[in-house]
Amino acid sequence: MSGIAPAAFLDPALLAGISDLSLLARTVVDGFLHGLHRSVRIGTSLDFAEHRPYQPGDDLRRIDWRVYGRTDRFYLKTYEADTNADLLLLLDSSGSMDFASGTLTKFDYARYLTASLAWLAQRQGDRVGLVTVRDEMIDVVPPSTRHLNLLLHTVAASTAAGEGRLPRVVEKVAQMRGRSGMVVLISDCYEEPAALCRAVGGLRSRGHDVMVFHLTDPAERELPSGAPGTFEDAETGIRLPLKPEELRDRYRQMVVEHAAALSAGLTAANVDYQAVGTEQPLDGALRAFLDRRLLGTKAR
Amino acid sequence: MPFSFLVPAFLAGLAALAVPLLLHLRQRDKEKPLRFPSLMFLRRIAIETSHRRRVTDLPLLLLRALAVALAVLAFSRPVFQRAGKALGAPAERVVILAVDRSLSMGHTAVWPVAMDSARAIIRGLRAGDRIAVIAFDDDASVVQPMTTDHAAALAALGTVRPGARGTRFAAALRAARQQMAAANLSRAEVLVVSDLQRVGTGGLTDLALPKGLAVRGVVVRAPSAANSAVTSLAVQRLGGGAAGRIAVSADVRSNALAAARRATLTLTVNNRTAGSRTIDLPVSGLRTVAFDPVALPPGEAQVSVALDPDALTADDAFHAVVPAEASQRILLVGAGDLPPESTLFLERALVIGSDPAFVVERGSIATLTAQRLASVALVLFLDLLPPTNEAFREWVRSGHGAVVVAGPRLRTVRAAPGQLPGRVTGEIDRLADRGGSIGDVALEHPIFAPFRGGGSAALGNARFIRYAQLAADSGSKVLARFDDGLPALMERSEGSGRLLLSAIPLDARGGDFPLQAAYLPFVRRLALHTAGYQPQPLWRTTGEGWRPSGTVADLVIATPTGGLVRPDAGTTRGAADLEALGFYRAYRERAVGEPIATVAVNFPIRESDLTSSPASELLLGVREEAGDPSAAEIAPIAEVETRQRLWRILLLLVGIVLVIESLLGSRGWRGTATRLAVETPPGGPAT
Repeated sequence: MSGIAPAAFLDPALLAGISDLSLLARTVVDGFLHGLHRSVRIGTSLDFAEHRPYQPGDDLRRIDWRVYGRTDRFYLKTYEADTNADLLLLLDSSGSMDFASGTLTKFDYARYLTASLAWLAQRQGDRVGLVTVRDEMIDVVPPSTRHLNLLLHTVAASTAAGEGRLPRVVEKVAQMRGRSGMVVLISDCYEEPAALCRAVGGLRSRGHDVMVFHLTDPAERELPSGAPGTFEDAETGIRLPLKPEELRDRYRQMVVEHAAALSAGLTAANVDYQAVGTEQPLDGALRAFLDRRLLGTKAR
Repeated sequence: MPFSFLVPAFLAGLAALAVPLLLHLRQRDKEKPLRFPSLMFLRRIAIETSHRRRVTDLPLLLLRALAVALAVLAFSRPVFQRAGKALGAPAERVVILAVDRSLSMGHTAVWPVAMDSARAIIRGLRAGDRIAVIAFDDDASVVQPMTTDHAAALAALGTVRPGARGTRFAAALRAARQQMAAANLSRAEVLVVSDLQRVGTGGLTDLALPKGLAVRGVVVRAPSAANSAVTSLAVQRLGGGAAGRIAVSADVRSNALAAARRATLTLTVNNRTAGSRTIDLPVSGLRTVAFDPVALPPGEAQVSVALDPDALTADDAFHAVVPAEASQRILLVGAGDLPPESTLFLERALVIGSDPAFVVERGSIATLTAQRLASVALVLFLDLLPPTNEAFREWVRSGHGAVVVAGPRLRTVRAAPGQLPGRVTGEIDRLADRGGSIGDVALEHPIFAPFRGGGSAALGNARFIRYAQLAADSGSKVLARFDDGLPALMERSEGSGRLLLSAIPLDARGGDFPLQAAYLPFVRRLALHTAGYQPQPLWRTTGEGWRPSGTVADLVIATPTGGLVRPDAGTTRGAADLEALGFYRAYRERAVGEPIATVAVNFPIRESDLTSSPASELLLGVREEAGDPSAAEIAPIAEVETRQRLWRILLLLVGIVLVIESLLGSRGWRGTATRLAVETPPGGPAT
């Protein structure tokens, strides 16, 4: 690797040549971290952050008795760097993800991103878990510090097919997850924005930090140019004879409106939304994750 | 150059033009679809159905439709027409004119009209129309083959005259069918100029006409079917020899007369008037008129009875030839000690008849030479075996016959194989039961013809005391049996002749048969049948052939119309076709002196019935031949092929169009229609 800059391995087209997902994730993360100007490695020590007034239901053990002695009021101590947080990756494996106008399908990109995020989180000491979703949860790898290999193997073996019902599955995940942590959804988000936002908001309301990576292929942001032809829905199999040239403008507008609606809805639910094109390097997504991860370290 | 189609039904295949359109619209959906992540947005865009069903590639569609249309036209077999002609549907008329020349057409009110009608038909043809002329009665002949020369047809028509033969429309239609086939016609129109006599419709049910043959009747019937005719003669010979006379009676039939009328019948014998009778003819019916007996001239007599002429004169006279009195010689052969009285009854019974008369001679086996046999018509062997020499066998095979009457002597003699129709195995004595009788008789046999209709009882009256016991050989036919079941009479054919063996005693010693009434007719019919006697008919009918008995070499036949016919010596059917009414006379070498034979020729009796049938019934019972009339071609094969070659050109064009369609469909944007081309907008993905 001496002749190649580490950041080059963040190019998805180049990553497509690496079959070992573990190696790929490590390469991506190392390359990504190598390009940062300062270390963002999060320490494992408990750093005091602030005091906050006691509220009924708080753990009495966390009351700062010293402050009580001075002020005769109950305050709780809060700390930074709760480093053993859970990271649950939700990977959309519906049929719509199996689409590529270039060399890399959305699902491949999503797998690389999933593996990279898992590797990055593992390096930070987080417990990493995985759920591949379609209309149901397909594969579930519970968050654990020892499940990275299992997670990477599951990601490598998964395929994209079938119809997806993302809001329903997300709602199920929200109901199952008792321990708050970070949830990352990687999907092409072909759902109604309101329904998806409502489902993801459910996660958020249960104390999870939620981040949504919205993957898009260049060809689905624009309609493929060419002669009239029949389009087939990758998930439902529905066919539609179309003349793309006549529909492109309206389609493009609807795609933008969909993305805007998702962004607005998720932001309103305090969920990070990140649109990612499969032609883009992975570092943008990783950077966004780290940013969110740093914000999420604030203990409550 | 106009053209038509040999198989226009294939033009229905033009409906297949919808196939490319449907395929075109269908195929668009059948193309390999472009897999797209989600049609969530696209389905929200209102897409007009008409827009989806709109023809999107008109040039390709037109090319495919053109290929289909050309293929359909090719299979419809377009053919060029010659000027004014279409193959299988000729523009010109093809007329087969069938003119009835039967006896009934000789009616004074019919024939001129028939000729005028026929001429008008010919003159009504346009130039180029084809016509053939057929003259028919009970036979048909083509007097003018198919031609466009209408003047020739008129000239041929002028040669047609009404004849004396009967009517048979089937003959005309069959000849028309042959004309049609000979000229390779697919369609023709048969115009039958006739009085459409009802009697002429025989044989139509056996006829099958091609589909393209249209038959129309041009009816030229007389204003009235009233007619009277002499339809039969009966001649009875009275006495024999120089004092012989004949009594002549005639049947006169009248039909549909306006009223009963008086008419005169004249009897002519050998061209001399021999009698005359005035009679009252009924409106419809038969009247038999008997003339007074007249003296019979020596030799054969030519007898004619004529009625007063009416509108149809040909059937007003009837002719007959009364042959000279002939005799048949019978030879009785018995053993030398055969007493003369033993054949008394037999001889008397044989000679008592006349027409023909029998001349009985007696002889012995030793005298049966070929010359002797040639002079007799029948040999009766009385209790004696016939000779086994070849002369006798050949004489039998040539049409003569012999009867062997079995008696006590034959019981002791062993016959050679084949010498007799059966074997004599003994003698039956029925004295104890007062004699036997004839029990079973083959009444259908000519010998027993007089006993049909109850007359067989007369045979059963005879009692037989003693008779020979016979056993039939294979190949022999038992004609009568005694009441005990034993054969009484058996017969075996020998070539054209016959050999009979009888156990019936013909004398009075074995029974009382000679004393019974049945004896005389039995003996006479036995002699006539065994001798192979065939009476000469008094007359023949037009249309028959006539061959005088004996050799036909150097024959000259004088016809009633005064013509002479010299038939070929090798002719087997007949020396002359009897076409005219009257007397045909045959002479040897030259038509002078006494004729060696004479025959009277009369018209078919039914022809005098002028009742006609409606033209619509002309084709009743006629079947239509299977097959497509268009299969028959008018033009020579080479010309037909030339005019049909358009289908090849059309098929070639189909190929060219399909090649163009293939090239057009695989080039340019059509060939890359489903390839994905992504236009990435500046600024990266839409977020």
